[in-house]
Amino acid sequence: MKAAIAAAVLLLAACTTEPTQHLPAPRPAPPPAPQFVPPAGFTKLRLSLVPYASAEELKAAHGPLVAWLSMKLKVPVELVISENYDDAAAKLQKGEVDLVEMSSYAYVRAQKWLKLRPLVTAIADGSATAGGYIIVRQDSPLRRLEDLKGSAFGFVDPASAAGYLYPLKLLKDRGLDPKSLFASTQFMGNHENVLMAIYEGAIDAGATYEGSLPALRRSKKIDPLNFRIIAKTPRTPRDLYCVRADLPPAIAEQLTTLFLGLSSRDRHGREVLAPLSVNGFLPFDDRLYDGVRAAAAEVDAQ
Amino acid sequence: MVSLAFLAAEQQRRDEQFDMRRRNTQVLEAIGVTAAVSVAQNDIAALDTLVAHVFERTRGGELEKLTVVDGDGRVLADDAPERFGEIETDAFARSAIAADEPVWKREGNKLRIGVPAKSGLRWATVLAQYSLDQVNAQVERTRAQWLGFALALYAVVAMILYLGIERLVARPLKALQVAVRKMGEGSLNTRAPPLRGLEMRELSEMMNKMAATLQAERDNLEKSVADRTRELQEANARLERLAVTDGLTGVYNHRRFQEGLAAELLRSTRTGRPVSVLMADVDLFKKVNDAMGHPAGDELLRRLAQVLNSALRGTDLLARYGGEEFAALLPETSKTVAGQVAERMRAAVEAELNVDGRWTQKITISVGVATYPDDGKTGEQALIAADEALYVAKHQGRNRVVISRAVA
Repeated sequence: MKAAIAAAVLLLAACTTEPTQHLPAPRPAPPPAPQFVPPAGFTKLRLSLVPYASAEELKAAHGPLVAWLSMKLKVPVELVISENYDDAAAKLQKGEVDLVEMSSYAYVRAQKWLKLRPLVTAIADGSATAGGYIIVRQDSPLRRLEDLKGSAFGFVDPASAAGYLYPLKLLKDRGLDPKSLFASTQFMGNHENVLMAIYEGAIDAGATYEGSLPALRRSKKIDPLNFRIIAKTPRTPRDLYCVRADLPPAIAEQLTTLFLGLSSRDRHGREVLAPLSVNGFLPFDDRLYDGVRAAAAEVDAQ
Repeated sequence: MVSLAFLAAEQQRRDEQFDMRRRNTQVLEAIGVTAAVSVAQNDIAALDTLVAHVFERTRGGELEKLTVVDGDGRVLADDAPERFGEIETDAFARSAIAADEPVWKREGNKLRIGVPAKSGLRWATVLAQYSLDQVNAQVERTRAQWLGFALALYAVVAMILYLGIERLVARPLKALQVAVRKMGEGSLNTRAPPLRGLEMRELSEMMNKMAATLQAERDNLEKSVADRTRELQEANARLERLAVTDGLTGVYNHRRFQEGLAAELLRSTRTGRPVSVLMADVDLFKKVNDAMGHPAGDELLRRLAQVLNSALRGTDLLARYGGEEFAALLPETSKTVAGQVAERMRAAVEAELNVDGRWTQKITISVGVATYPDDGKTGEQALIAADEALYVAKHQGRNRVVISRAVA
């Protein structure tokens, strides 16, 4: 009987779009937050983004979040577009930005050389993790990893888990050497760029994460059926938000509280999160990143 | 009981496996519906999320593998993402893809279940593999519990039986045995202790009754044996007395005298000491008889025997030799001493029998004395010598002692 109830609960969990991982459910109603008073000297919050879309698109997507944070923190929030994941981390270290949205692998890399304070992990498409795909065009003759020999291949970013680290590991696990396998490789900067390059025939195949196909349909009305998945890589945690370690703790805590208060299940949360294709946020748990760390260690060792 | 434990465990194994299969089939059918929606929408990301999260939530449980395959057996999603695109070729996967209903199969300690992923149409097939280890471990625990229970029950029953037999049978039997052994050894006054239990009590009562009867009978027997023995001894004594005494006078008879003489002569031969014999006769006894009648004669003889006996020494033997004649055997007595004894006899008769005037004449005796071996080489010769001396005494005037001089 107990087992049947457990199964029913499991079933329910699997069927809903609610986040399922490491999230205490039901979420306790946040106590009425005491009025936040910005510490002296805290005059603005600088949020760094990686250019996974054009500056205009990024600004449009983050507009509601920026406005909301600004209202809650009672200081202006400024968007800073970094060149890439590592550049965002470097800016954080130099104190040029306060808050960074970064990938799991970028976080694992940055952790090694800089002090930062992780706040929350994003939940999207109902999950705090996402798998990675190796993708070709639907009409491509390439059907297996071995077929990639001599192809032009596109990665996302050297600091991308699904877009670089795990595809490398997969190839190596299959006994394929990326250096000799491909005719050429390049970093496309973001997931959408990888898909577009495949779609347009600029590259034969590429690595991206599972969310990029629905994202492309949303942004460019390009149907996922234009692509074919030829391999999958393990799920990795989604992007997380970090602040620099020397940011006043009161601000970091206030930011965490604000992020955790956002949910796509209520109207206000949806207004802020929908442009970002995010459902909500999960309190940071470093154990979630152990898999990425292990994969990184394995790839670095080779 | 032990086989019951195994049967119970086996029944539980069947129940648990049936329950596990039914429950998981239901879960997989529900997952199948969700998977079908994702496949129908070509939302592979959603399918991946579904499979990954279902698997992650049940990790550490029974579920070991979870796969969604298309109609060709191609893996659309798997708990191990790298398996994407592989073709499931095994017989079970094939049968699951072909079947329109959930199918299942047990392979060793694995349970495989396949259910169609339907949402309006059949879009895919969900394949799952479960470990039966937990079920089996539970069954083993149940079996162990049953076995333990059975063993404990055995122990308790054995203990009760042992104590019961010890108290109700062994101990009473032992008490009975001790009592019977004592009875067997002759202590018929032994009684078995009162025992518990109807049969035991009856047995001990019977035993006691038997012992009491035996004891009574033995007491009777002993008493009558003692009585008979005493009677016999008395009869024997009487017979013996009768055989060696004279009925009238109470002194020894002729036969006893001869035996005594023979014995003394043998002894004399060994020791070399002399044996003397006296022959005494009432003087003129016929006259007493004639004048006073036989009863008076008999009375005289009885009186005479008393007087003669009292005149003799303790070791001497007096016998009625026949008629009014008495003989005395004097062991280890010389002729001189024998003469003195004879004289004492004669004087006693003369003194004691004539004081009250009872008799019509004076009562005297004549005595002849002879000594072996001086007066004869045999007892008979000695007696003849004594008789001759008596004869001489009669002739010399009666009321006297004459000592044989055959050899002297």
